[in-house]
Amino acid sequence: MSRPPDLLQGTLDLLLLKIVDLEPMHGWAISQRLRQMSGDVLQVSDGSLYPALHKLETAGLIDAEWRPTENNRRAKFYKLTDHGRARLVRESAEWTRLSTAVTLIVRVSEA
Amino acid sequence: MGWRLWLTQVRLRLRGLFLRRRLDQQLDDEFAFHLEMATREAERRGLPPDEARRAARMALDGVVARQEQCRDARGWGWLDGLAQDTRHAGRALRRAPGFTAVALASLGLGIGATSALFAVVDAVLLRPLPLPSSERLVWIEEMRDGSLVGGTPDRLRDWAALKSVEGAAGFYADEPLVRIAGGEQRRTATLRLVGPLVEILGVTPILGRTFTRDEIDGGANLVLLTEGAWRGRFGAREDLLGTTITMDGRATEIVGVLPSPVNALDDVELWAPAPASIQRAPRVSGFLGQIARLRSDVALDAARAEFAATATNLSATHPDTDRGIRPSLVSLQARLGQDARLPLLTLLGTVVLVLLVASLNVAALSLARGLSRRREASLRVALGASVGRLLQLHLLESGLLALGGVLIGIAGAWLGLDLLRAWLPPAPRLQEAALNGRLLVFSGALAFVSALIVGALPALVATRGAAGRTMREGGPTIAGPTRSRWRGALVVAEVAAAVVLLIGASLLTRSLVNIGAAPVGADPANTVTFAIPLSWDTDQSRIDAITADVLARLAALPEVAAAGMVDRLPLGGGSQTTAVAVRGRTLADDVARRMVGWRTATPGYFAAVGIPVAQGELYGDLVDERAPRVAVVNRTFVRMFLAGRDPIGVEITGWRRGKEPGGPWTRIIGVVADVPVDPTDAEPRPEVYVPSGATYWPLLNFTVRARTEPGIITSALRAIGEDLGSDATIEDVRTLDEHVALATRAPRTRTWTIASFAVVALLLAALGLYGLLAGEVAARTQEFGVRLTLGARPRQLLGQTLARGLRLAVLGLALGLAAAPFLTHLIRGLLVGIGPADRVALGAALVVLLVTAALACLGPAWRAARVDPRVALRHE
Repeated sequence: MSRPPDLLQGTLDLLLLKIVDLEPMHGWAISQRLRQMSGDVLQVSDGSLYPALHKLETAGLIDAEWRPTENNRRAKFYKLTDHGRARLVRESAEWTRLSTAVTLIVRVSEA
Repeated sequence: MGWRLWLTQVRLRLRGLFLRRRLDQQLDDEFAFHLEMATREAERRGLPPDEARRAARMALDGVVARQEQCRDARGWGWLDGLAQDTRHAGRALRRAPGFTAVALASLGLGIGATSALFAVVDAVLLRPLPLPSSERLVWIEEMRDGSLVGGTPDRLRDWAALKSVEGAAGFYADEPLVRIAGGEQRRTATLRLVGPLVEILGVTPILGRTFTRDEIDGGANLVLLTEGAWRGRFGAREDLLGTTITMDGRATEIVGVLPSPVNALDDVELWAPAPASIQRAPRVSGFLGQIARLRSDVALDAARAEFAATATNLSATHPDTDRGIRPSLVSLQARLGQDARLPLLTLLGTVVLVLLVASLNVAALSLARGLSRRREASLRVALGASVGRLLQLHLLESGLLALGGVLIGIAGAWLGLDLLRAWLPPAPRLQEAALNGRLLVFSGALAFVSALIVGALPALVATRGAAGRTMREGGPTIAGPTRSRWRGALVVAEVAAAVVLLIGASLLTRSLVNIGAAPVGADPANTVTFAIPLSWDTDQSRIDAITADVLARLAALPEVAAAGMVDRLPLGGGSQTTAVAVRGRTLADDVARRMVGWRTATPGYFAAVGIPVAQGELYGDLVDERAPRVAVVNRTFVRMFLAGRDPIGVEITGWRRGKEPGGPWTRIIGVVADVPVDPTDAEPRPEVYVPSGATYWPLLNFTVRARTEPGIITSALRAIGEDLGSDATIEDVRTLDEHVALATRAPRTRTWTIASFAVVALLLAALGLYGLLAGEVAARTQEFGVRLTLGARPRQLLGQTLARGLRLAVLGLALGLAAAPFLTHLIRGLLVGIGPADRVALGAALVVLLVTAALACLGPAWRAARVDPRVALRHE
């Protein structure tokens, strides 16, 4: 299996914020969703997922609460805070700007 | 938005700190949940249960490490490291109880002594006076020809009228006989006022009222109690106002109670107007302390200029009395702390030096410890500890020691303060010295500095090159050149500081010897002294009557060998002084301006104390007003004023009219030996003795020499005292020995304190030197063994080791000697009869240090010489 490309520094934070913006989710679900959404292109190791989540939590961008899953197991659900939402808006705009620029350059040099 | 996010983060951080156990539990639960889900997922893909669990763990890529990363995300990782290192440092200290005990004891002693002294310095010198806007209160000092003259009521009124001050007032200390409602009468410390002193100080009575202007000027029979006396002797009764007490026989009404801050000026029980005669005293002789309050918009320099200009005018308008008067203004706080300042700062400097020596000593010990633990350091670095972390560990160790030191020190200071308050010579506000916030801050700063001294160098030396090198060396660590050099430097610094202290102590001891060397009395143990202080308005005839009566009754006792009266006892300070002119002789300017003690004494005084008559004779007992004026002078007077001339028959006078000598001439009929006037005098003062009654002085002091032992005289005095009359009491009955001990108490206390601290510093330095050499000898045992086998003689090894130690000592000695002049120069005001560069004192310090150093080196040197080659070589 060829190794998926490393994520750009800080990109993981953006992805995580985006994912928990959809609905509150526990770590396992987030890891599944990441894989699913990126069509297995981006593979984030389950291990690096948790430190990143905890960092976002300490930074006050996401919040966590313990509640039962659909299988009635208690799990830690992460959801976006107001601060996190503001950050997400700002960062995704930034991302769009950046990727547009990169795409443009790549197309021009291909042409 | 920004600050709210910040607040949230602070809250989350704190949660991470305080709820860590719960968060850790949740972290475990979260990972367990993930593993369970992942395992189930893997099983669904068809893996057997075991494989599925393994795959789930693999995907997490190290559960423990990941959890650790999550914990680090809380932002307190460094704290864990710190806590861990603190525990480690504590364990390391516990494992070396000897080192820890020595270090704690030295740091505790140093910090404790320094803190206690700082508390005293803070109370006496630093803290502002407890009076409103006290920074505007100034002391008016008046000088003439370089010596102090007191203020006079008349001139005080001139100062008070100046534009730069709101007002000025004066006072002098008095001890009237006071009787409260039928009780015993007792001499009571009283401040006599000239001018509105209460208002100038800015205080208001806590009870009743103060004096009006007219009451003070008229010398009204009114009195204010100070708060201490009111609460103590007067029982804090509020119905005292309007009642009367008897002061020197006069009924005096109590009008109010002053708050205790006024005692910053002088610790007295009563404040009362000076008698009317004194309020109108002529401008000639000064006796007042004077205080002015500057206007809030006037700078001190501007006020000084106005005072100086006024002085010039006054010398024109009052040429007879005010010529040459120079007023100087100093802050009241500085003036009140003036006498205590030098002794206190000297003591503080001493204990700071002791603390320095103690810290250096602990640093040297710690360095040695750090070296022996170098392998441990290397191991830690090899296992991935950063050098910074290693440094932190070392600094933590010294920090713990300093913390322990400061705790012991504060406890010691708390105990020591009581001792200091009781033991130090009295100083204004000394009793207020206490543990307070400022002191804690000061002690904390001391602890920080000593932790740096103790920890920084050892930490740097021990961590430098810790990586790898020592690991390769393998064997037991041997004191290499670098480490010994550092340790040697510490020991040299210790010795240098100890030398400075030794020199200071040696100078003060020499001064103390000089103070004691001036002979006071032929038989001081059997000479009784006592005082009969009379009021300043007592008639001369009454003074004469009491003197004659007391002396006659003493002379009638068979046990009395001699008895006499004098104005002030030896070492009891001076009384009246004046410039003296010699008839028919023009004196050099400096001699003509020299102030000479003009004292009264009956002839029996010289016999009782045992002051030999060197030449001529004494005057007779009875002095008639019509008799010719005669005097005896002391040897110093002859040396200064009558060098190369027969003093007998020379006429002198202490009176002047303007610049010319005037008034009655007094004929010198005898010369007596010098007697020390004040314990701090560097050399004897020139003095003239005149018969009692030839000059006014109502504070009578008596000296009585017993043939056998003084007990009988003491009991006889009781009967004499009862017959004296209501205006006089016998006080301060002591032997001359006791009187001298009391008079020299302050310099003796000071010298002993500083000498003991110097000895402590010396012992610490010797310990440092010993420790260094002992360590080196132990480390070089093998080398010595080899050298002995190859034919070296034990004596050579002994000599070499001794030389190595003494080289360090001499180096420290040289440094100390170089530094000492700067410090001893500061204490020259405490030296008596010697200068700060006194050779004997320096020599004594030098010898004591070298002998101590040699003794400290002898043990290790002996051990070096006694190395048994067979044992040494088998050592490996």
